[in-house]
Amino acid sequence: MGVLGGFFGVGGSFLAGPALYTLGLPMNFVIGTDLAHIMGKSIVAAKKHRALGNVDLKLGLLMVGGTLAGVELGAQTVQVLKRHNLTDLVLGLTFLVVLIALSLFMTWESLSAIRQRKGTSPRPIRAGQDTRDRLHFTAVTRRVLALRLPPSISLPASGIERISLWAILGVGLAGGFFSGLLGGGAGYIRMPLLVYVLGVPTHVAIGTDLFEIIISAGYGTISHALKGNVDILIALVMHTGAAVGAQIGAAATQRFHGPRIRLAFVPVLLLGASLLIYELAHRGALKL
Amino acid sequence: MNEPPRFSETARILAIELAVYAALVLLYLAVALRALRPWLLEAADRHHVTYAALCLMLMLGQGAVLEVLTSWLLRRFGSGRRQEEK
Repeated sequence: MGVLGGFFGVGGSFLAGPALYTLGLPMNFVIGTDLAHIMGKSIVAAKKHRALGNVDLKLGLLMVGGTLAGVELGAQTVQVLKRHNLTDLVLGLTFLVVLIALSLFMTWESLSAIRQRKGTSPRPIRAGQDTRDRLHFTAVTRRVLALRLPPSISLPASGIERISLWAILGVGLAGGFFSGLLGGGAGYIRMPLLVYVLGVPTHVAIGTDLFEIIISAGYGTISHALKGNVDILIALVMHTGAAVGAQIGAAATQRFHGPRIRLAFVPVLLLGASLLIYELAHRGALKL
Repeated sequence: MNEPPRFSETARILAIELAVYAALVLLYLAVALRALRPWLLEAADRHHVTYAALCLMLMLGQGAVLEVLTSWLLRRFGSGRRQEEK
């Protein structure tokens, strides 16, 4: 989990959650304990990425407002689904659709970007963009960067000269919404959004996403601990293992270019989807 | 992009990290968790706000300490320093 977190900028809740559940931890403890462990692991990985110049602190801090609002919105949506007794089915299927759609899109995009790097390169979306971190799919990024909705700000660490604050808050909101709705840090959706919507370089997206996970998972940890859903002893033990892995994962990102990292992310998404299908079928939410 | 480190170098770091992991887990089982357990259980049962604050502080504290420790070990054994200098 630690290596995956450090390498891809995700908390890994979609893998750790089912593992804890299989070990016999009640579901409410699975969610709360996993959040606490994710926060600790993200501190280690984000610090390592910061040392490697992969964290855009300004972007991360600007996203916080959107992230926290999104977490609350997601949590409220869960309450509505609970009232209609649709939680397992709707959340499970939503998660499944998101994971499969992302894996298909990222496979196509990263393979196309790798092929383009070998042949003719497309027009860069940012001045001074690293040619080894080209995107194949830039339609959304170009529209977002061309958006003139004040206030506009610059993000030098991400190589972005001018971007609307609303676009940043929107990405934070979307990541926070999935975090509140499905649990975990929602790095599996925030990292791709940073890359494909805001045009942040892949390595910086990973580091910044980890910084954001510290905040969203920290908020979730307090919230769940107040409700008695955190076994902090389990989280501390899990974190000792994840912390060393996070260091290895973060250091390993320096060995790969953006498109290859994005392509390597696909099996992780598919593994998460497979575990989810198994879990849903096991609980009888899917008629398989 | 930095020059990738050699495989043997990466494997050596991994071995060091695993040794640290094993030592830390043993240390927790033997000392820290055993000592903390009664206090934490008491707080979890009766003082939810204190427990939430303790959870946050313990994770932040352990995160900071482990980051410093593992970074130091990586620098001490060579390859981490090489990567951060680039």
